Amino acid sequence: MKNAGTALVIDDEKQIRRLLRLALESTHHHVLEEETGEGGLTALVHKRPDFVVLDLGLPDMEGLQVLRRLREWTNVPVLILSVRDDPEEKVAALDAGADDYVTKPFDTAELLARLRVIQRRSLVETGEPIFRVGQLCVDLSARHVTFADHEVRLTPTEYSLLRVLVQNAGKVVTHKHLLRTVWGEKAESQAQYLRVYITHLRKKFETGPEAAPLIRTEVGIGYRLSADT
Amino acid sequence: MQASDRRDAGRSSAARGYITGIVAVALLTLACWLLTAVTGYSAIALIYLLGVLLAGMVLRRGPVLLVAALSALCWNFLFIPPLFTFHIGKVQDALMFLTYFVVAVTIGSLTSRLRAREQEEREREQRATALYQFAQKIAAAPNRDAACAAAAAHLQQVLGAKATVDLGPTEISVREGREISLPIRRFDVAFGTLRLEPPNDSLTSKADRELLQAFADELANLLERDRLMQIAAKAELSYQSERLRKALLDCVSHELKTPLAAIRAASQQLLTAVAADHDESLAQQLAGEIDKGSQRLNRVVNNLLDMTRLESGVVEPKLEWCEVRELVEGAIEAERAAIAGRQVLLDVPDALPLALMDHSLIEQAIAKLLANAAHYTPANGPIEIEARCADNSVTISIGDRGPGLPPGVAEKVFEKFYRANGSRTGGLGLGLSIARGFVEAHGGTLTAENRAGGGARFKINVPVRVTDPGALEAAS
Repeated sequence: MKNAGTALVIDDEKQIRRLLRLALESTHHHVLEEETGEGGLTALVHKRPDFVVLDLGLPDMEGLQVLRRLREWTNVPVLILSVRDDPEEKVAALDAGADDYVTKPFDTAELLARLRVIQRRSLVETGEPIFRVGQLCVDLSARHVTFADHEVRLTPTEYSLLRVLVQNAGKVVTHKHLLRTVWGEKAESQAQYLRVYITHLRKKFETGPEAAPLIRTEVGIGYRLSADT
Repeated sequence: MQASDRRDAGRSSAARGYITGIVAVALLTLACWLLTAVTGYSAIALIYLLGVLLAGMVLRRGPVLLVAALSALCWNFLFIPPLFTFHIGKVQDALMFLTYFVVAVTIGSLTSRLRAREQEEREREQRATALYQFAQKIAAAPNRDAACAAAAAHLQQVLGAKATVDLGPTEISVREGREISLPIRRFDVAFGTLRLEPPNDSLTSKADRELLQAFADELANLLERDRLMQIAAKAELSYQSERLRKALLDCVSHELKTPLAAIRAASQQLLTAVAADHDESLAQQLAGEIDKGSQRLNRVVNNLLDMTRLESGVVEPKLEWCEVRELVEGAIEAERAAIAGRQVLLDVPDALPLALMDHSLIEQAIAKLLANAAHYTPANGPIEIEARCADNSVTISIGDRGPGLPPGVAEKVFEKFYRANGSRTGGLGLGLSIARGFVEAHGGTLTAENRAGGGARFKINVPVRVTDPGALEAAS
């Protein structure tokens, strides 16, 4: 049985930790459990897990604070698992460097899929310049985009937007992050640009009503480019 | 005020000033007539001049000028030869007369002007003092109504005018007969009207009107400050209640969703495990998790329902004869899982009489205290239960050897949704408040205290009819 990586679960609820352990061990992960934020940060330093599942309400400090502190020195993928489902809290966590956000009660299969995606991040950034999902193929090195084997012409803005989504494929990218990377710091509050350009992209990658949309809207948070091939 | 009263008095007796002047000149002339033989007529001018100077110090400008003119004429008519004519024979006498006249008028007007300025100065100071005292009085008032009352009382006292402050529609500054209305406003905000009814025709000068408006403005300043403070307090209150609401919602959703998440995750994994034909033990483990999750959910839902019942006042004890020992043992049984691994010391005398109370409610209250002790003290710490029966009351206390209650929270722990700082996860903070509700439904009390030697003790005291068990048996 090969080891699929070490998970660090920081959650104060014992039962949730036990169940995450069962789920993660069934997919051959090694699991570390921590009950407090301080304990989690210490374990992160000493045991170097491959990814972190972090709860937001911890007895000793807010999960968001744990996230900020670990982001000061490590890029380890972090998935927030919390009962809080307010879009503002999600955006705050994502902007503070969380890679994804799942609310409790959660779907085990979906949680595991999201965990696979956030671990895949480094592959997209460093390796393969060609990204494929469904009928979409993006060659980042040649700035060449095809859909259903036909070349798609994109304006420079459309392309930069697509590139950011491709680089974060499978993960939710916040409005703020997209606006800042594509349009610059000053555009952070201009969410309407984003709406318009996402509509353009969706038109150019029409998948038909029955297929899952390529670019999913996360209401109040941002967009997610499907990563399932 | 006093200044204007004085001026009014002066006006009504203006004639008196002139009469005083004429009398003074007459007396002076008489004195000079006696002295003239000794001094000669030219020195008389100096005596007259002295009179003018003194008159300038006491009289107003008009009478002083009259004194100056009259004394010049008297001197000319009675002393300068040829006597008893206004004709002046010698050139130097004419020159002297002219000089005297100019000097007398100048001195008279200068001294009276000096006096007028001094008077003005005094009045200004009085106004400033009045305004200062007014501001001080109204600022010391605890609220706006008291400030308005203080303002009216103060004005009544210093002006002698009937003063009222109407908060409400603001009128423009008008004077109807004796009544004066002044608007109380600051910038665009109008607060009301200040009404004054002076007893006589006073308070009419420009300085008086300005002073009255200054009073009204001072009151407006205070009311404006009060208004802003109220707005700030309201904003703070709504911010606090918003924060509390959010904290409460977070807490309830956490308590409901966590067990739900566990149940959902376990059942999903169970489905996969069954489909993949995994080993029995995993399936058993997952089923156990579902059971634990549903128990916790059940507890949370029950607590919320109990709280709702208590708040809507539908909890009514169904009284029956209870054996205290049975209640305590029932509670221990109900919380067996929570207090597992702990030593439970029972001090319940066998000879306790039966007590008339609601078995279920009191047992639940004890159970909640046990669960609370288990939650807040280190695992395997002992729990001591003591029951006593005095005249018409039953006391049951649950003590632990945990960290005890932090100072100042002995009452707070019974508040709804109160959870001790840094306490272990889990719980809505309703248990103790429900327990107290159940006990109070019996007309009893539930209190918390720290024990000597460490730990906390919760004491249920219920006033009940008790009976000697033997007597009851004999009766039945």
